[in-house]
Amino acid sequence: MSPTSAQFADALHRHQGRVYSIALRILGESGAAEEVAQDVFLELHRSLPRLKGEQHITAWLRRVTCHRATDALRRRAVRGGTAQSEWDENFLPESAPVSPAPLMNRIERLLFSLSPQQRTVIVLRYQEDMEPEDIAIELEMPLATVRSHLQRGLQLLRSKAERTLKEYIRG
Amino acid sequence: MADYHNQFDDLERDLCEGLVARPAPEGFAGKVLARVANQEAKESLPALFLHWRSALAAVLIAVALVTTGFWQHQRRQRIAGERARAQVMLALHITSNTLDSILQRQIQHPVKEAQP
Repeated sequence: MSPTSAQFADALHRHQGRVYSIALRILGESGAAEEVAQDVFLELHRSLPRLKGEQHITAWLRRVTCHRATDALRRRAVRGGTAQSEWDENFLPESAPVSPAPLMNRIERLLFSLSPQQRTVIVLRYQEDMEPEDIAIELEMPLATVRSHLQRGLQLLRSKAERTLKEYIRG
Repeated sequence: MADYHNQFDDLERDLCEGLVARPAPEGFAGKVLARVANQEAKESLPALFLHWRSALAAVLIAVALVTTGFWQHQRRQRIAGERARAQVMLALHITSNTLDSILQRQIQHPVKEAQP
């Protein structure tokens, strides 16, 4: 196995969950998320010689996954697929795998009531534990826009979750 | 910035706890590695084909150069031969004319033999 192949296999095993989760939480469908995640890793295989160091690889994977998932959403919209734009308490993306963790399911269900940009920013902020400044750099988006998506997204989530989520967690 | 962190409330804590990375589907890594191998195989075929095409083109160019060189050499030799032949013919013509004129002079004015 060449050094590049070994490095790729290592990156694949370490980051597969991260890439798949970002794609799933933006797309809301496990089949599409798996396809996007596979495409991202194929692209990583081609780009690996240009990437220097673990941090660079992680940042590259996050950025490319967000872009590819957003592109997939756009293609789906063009094909006439419906995007979940209005919150529905009973909405659960059709083929999203049900997690054994109820909180995760609840949060993911709430996420799909947000716009794709808000979802992306919230996933990067809370799944990837990134600061808004880093999200702005990674998504090549003005910091003010990132903060606006974050605040608006949280506001929407808060208003929708106030009754259900807190009752569920504390109940 | 400080306000931003102070606003970390219950919902945000729930988001942090709820949005942990999910494991990738079973067999995900295997599928990716298979696609990588497939892609590498596809990419290596045109490269090999291109290599053979380049080699064939190089051989054809070499053959064309050798043939052209040989033909040019033959042409130059033929021209040189024709030029030498023409020069020989001219020299023979001049010699013949000179001998003719000497003979004519001899006939018209025979040379007296020198007195002893």
